[in-house]
Order: sequence, then C-alpha cells, then structure tokens
Amino acid sequence: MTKRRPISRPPVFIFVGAILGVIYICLPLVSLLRKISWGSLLSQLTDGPTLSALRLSLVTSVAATVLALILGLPLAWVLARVAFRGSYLVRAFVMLPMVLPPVVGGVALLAAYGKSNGLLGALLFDSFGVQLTFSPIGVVIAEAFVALPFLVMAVEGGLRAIDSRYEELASTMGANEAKKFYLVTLRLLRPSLVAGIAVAWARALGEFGATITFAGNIQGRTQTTPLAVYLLLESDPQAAYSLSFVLLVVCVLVLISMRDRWLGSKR
Amino acid sequence: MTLRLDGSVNLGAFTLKCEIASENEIIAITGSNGVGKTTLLRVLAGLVKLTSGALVIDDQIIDDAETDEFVPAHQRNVSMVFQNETLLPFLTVRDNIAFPLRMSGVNRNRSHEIAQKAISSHGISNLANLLPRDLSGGQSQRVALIRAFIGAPKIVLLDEPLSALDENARPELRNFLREQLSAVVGYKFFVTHDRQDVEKICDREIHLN
Amino acid sequence: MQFRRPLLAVAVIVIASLAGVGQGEAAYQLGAPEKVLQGTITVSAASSLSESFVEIAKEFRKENPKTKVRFNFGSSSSLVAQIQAGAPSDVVASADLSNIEKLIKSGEVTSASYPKIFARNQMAIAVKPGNPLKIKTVGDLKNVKFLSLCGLTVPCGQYGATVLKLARLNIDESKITRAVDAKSALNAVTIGDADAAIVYSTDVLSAKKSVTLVKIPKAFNVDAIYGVALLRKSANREVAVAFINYLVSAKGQELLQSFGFIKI
Repeated sequence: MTKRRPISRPPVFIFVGAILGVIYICLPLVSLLRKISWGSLLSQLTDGPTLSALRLSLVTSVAATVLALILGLPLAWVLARVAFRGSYLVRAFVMLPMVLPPVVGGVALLAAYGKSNGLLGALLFDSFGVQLTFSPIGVVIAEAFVALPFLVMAVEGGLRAIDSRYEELASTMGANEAKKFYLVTLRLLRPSLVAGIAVAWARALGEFGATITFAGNIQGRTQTTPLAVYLLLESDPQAAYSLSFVLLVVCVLVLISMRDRWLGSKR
Repeated sequence: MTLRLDGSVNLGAFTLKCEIASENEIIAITGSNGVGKTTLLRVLAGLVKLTSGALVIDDQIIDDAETDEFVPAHQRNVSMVFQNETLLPFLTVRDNIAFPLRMSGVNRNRSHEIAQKAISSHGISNLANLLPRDLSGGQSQRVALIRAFIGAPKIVLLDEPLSALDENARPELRNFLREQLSAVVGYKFFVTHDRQDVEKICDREIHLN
Repeated sequence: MQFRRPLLAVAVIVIASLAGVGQGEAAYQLGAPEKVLQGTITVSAASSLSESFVEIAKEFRKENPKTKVRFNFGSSSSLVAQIQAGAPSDVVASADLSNIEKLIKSGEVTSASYPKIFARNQMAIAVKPGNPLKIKTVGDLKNVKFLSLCGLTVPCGQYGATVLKLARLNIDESKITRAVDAKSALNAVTIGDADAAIVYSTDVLSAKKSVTLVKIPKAFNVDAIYGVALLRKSANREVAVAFINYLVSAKGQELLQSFGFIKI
C-alpha cells in the first residue's frame, strides 16, 4: 500500500495541542501502572470479595446494556424518524443522566423507585413486596440509567446518517416494513449500534455515584468493582490499584477492538 | 389493461400535476431539471402519496387521495432503478441481483441460481462476488439494470439509467433495455435527457413542463 | 509615672514584633495591645463534625473578623490519606485518636502537644421516623432487612462493629450496606431504603425529624474520642493554633455540647 503524500500540513499549534492532549490523558493512566505491585497482582485479584465484585460488575453491566438497548433503540428510532412537537424536549430529558452528577441521579432514582418514598417504588413494595434498592437489580437500574443516553445518542445519530434511498430501494424490491428494518436498516446502522453498545457498556461498568446511592454498597450483592476500589483505597491501596488496573485493561481492550468503527464511517 | 394517473403531488417546493393514461407501452418522460420527473416515478413506485386525485392500475385503486387508499411500494410489483444508490452497499453483486427474488419468497439457492444465470449471460461473472463500492459507476448501473428485470415486474421505472455510462457503452445497453422492456407486459416509464434513448427505445414521449 | 505609658507601649511593640518573627502571615496593628489574627486556614475534619464546626467557625470569626476558616469534611481515614498525599491543610480533627497517631508516625503532626482531645461522642441507632419496625435495642437489629454502617476502615465503621460485638450480635454481611462516611451512612436511612443505621448520636440528632433516634445502652456503646492537631506544614500557625484553642475553650465546648457531643 503506498502512502499518500498530504497536500498540506496542519499548523504547528495543532500538533502541539494534540500532543498535549495525549499526554494529559495518558500520563495518569501510565502512572497508575507504576503503582502496581505485579507480584501480588494475581493474589489480590483472586481474593474473595474482589472476585465477587468483578463478577457482579460483569453481570450487571451487561444486563444494564441490554436494558439500555431494549429501551433505547425504540426511543432513538422515534427521535430520529418521527416528527412530533416537543421532540427536542424529550431529547434533552433523555440526555440528562449524561450531564447530571451521578449521585444526583441516584437520589432521583430513589425518589422514583425507592421502597420508602419512591413514586413507583412504594407502590411496588406495598403491592408486590418488591424492593429494588439494595439488590443487584437496583445496580442494573442505576447503571442503565446513566448508560442509556449514550446508546440513544449513538443510535439516533446513526439512524439520521442512513441514506433513506437504500430503504426506499428495498421497498421497491418488495421488502415489507419488518424485512426492511432487519435486512437493510439494522445492517446500515451496525457501526453506530456497535459503538453505542460499547460506550454504554463501558459507562455502566464504571458507574459509582448512582449505584452507591440507589443500590447501596453490600459486599457480594451490590458492591461493584468501582465501589470496591473506593473502599479498598483506604484499607489496601495496593489492591485498589490492581483492581483499577483490571477495569482499565478491560476498557482499553473494548475500545481497541472497535478501532475506528465508532467514528460512524463505513470502514 | 390500463394505467391511469390523474392527480397532483404537493411537495411544498412545487406541485406536480399530471394526467397519464398508458397501456402496454414504453413511455419516455422528458423535461428540464426540477420539473418533477423523478417525483412522477416515485408516485408510480409508491414512495410518495398523491395529495389529490388517484392512480388506478388495471381497475385496481393503487393510490386515492380522497379515500386514502394506498398500496405501499413493497406490494406493488414495481422495479425501479435510481440514478445513484442503486445497489445495497453491504451485499455482493450476486446477492443484490437475487434480492428481489428473495423478497418475493424464492429460496436462497434458487434465487442465487437465477441471479448467477443472469450474471453469466451478461458476461459479468468477474463482478459476481464484488461489493458495490468496488464497482465503477457504469458497472453498478449494469448490475442494477440486470436486477431490474429479474423478478418479472409489472411496472418498470427507470430514472436516467444510462447517463452514468460513457457514449460508446450506451448502444449495447440500449439494445438490452429495448429487448427487456418489450418483453415486460406492463407499464414502463423511462426518464431521460438523451434523444437517442427516446428514439431507439420508447414508443411514446411525455414532456413535463 | 507619666513617661511609663509610652515606655510600656514601646516594650509591647518590641516584644510583639520579636515574637512575630518567622511566623508567617500574622499581622500586627501598630500600638495595639493585642495582636489581630488574620488569614485563612483549612481545617480537615471528620464528617460527623460538619454542623458543629461550621457553627464554631462562625463564632470564631465573630471574635476574629479578619480570619476565615475553610473546611474539608470527610471520613477521618480519607482525610489522613489526603494529608499524607500532600493536601494543604492547617488543622486536622479526627473521630478517633489512632488516625492522628498515623499522622504523627508519618511526620505530618509533631507530637509535642498533640493530639488535643476536644470532644467525645457515642453511637446511636437511626431508624425511619416513627420507628415503624419498633426497634428498642441493639438486639432488635437482627430483624432488620438492611442495616447501614460505615466501611470498616473508617472510625465510625469500627465503632459500629464494636457496638455489635459488645451486644453479641452477628449480622450477615449480605444485609449490611457500607457507606464511605457517617453522613452517607445516615443518608441511607433518611433518603434511602435502609431500615436502620449505626452512626454517631450527634449525626442522628442533626438529622432532626427525618429520623428517629434509638439509644444504645452504655454497656454496648463506645466512647468515640475526637482529637485535634496542628499540621506541621500549616501556612498560618497563629490562626490554626487559635482555632484549636477555641475548640477546647469554654465557648467551643459549649457549642460542641449543644450539638450532642459529650464533655471531655
């Protein structure tokens, strides 16, 4: 493959800015690696509470991403393709968990789904004895709450970018609405969908404030990896670094595996 | 056997009003840019609804603005070739040609067979496994035209299908088109700017203004 | 006798100036018999001291209008970690003495006259208003669905564990939600779904009507001893020491007790 010679180079200050940006992000991450005692890494990670935190994080983040998909795909569809008055308001609300401080999100979740005073939660408890707080389901609810906007944003963007002519083409070739959706729309949406799922999952995995506020911090039940790291920082900093390292590696692997796909191009 | 369109489409930017009666003939649709030729094709395809009037084909109401009856595009036995974006970008040439067959219920193997036969008889076997992004504009149009006739359509809508090809490639495809279009018993509409197309292929011309 | 007055004034000024050498930002008004404190200090204090210290700072400011006290509240152990990592602070007030010992060991506090004990606290049980689960003693906590405690590495978590041990109550970890500090542990009851929390009685009192307090009898209760110390790297020793002295003074003690702290 021959390399293309660029016609023009960007000005120097752009390079400088870019390099500073890379350093700003990479320096803390690389410094974290320095603090790890590699010898005891394995034993720290296979410790009982740590393993259960890792396992819980894995299960809840995947469940939260699935929940975000189930609710987010239709929502993104409506926002992208159905013109209705006030759609900009709906979009603003859906994006809120992204900008809200996570603890505030947790407080809001309590106000809705808490068993003591929650709008819906009290009803659920009084009628069915269902308590969402302090349970792994509560963790999933909190994680999905913060992850949903990312999924909606990626999918809505992806839907808007699809050339409607391909879908029209499919119609003229005899594809009904369902076939059109599965065979053409989803296929064209794939890069944005994958990117949205990956980002939503990563966000769910790293969630702390809403989780600890809504689902509490119960070892084995609701103590996810970020919560475990936070508590470990005081009792066993070394173990905290090791656990942070695991989170880091997982996220890096996911992001690398997506390569450029989440820029939305058809590569 | 008649097609009767008498109505108008209001697209905000402009309104297309026309009255067409057609029987088994190849009709050229000409006119300057922006006058609504593509819109007319889209109405016939079922991609746009009439805002007034009706489209009746073989005594069946296809689109009636008053009663809001409307047969959607996928239920009309229509085949359309756009000016561009004529192939699904994620399917190979063979799969693209086979697509209308699959949609009408033909199983995978049979539709691939039929598609392959058409590919071979047109001498483009070397393109069969390629994706549209690897084809030139002219090659894409050829594939689209092959696909257009594969499912025995009743309404064929062509929107300047040969304009992407260079002059010397056109005569051959013109013959191909005349052959295929004559074999179709139905309604055939051909938007073009090329007088040769009008003269060599079409039976009648409708000039929009 | 007439020339004594000016002589006295000069003597005071000279002594005051000498005493001020090498002490940083304390300033002196020429001719004034007392030095006027000014400047800002940062006090790192246990979160159970939030309400009381804010009040105390207000009163302190009334007496020393040119000073300002900034607070950094958190669990005593996290404050220690921050200070050891270099967070700038002048005073540290901890909910137990062991955290100050840590700072003496690592050199951030010189042990000469510190820590100074300035308050005592006890633990209490906080339950939902009206005590719907009718919890009367520590033993009743075994029927509770979810108990909120502080993490075990935080003083209030250690005190909580001691209470449970003294009451010979073993509660399964799967029913305990652990918070990062006393305030968050209490929040789990006030705004969350925890049925009860074991936190400092001062915290439960501050929460007023949003919780009901259930007393823990002396036999099961602990004596949380709060200590305060000057940090070696303080940039404004004068004001810092003055604040510490204010805490142990009659006025400071009165204020602390009004919030529920026990006499030292």
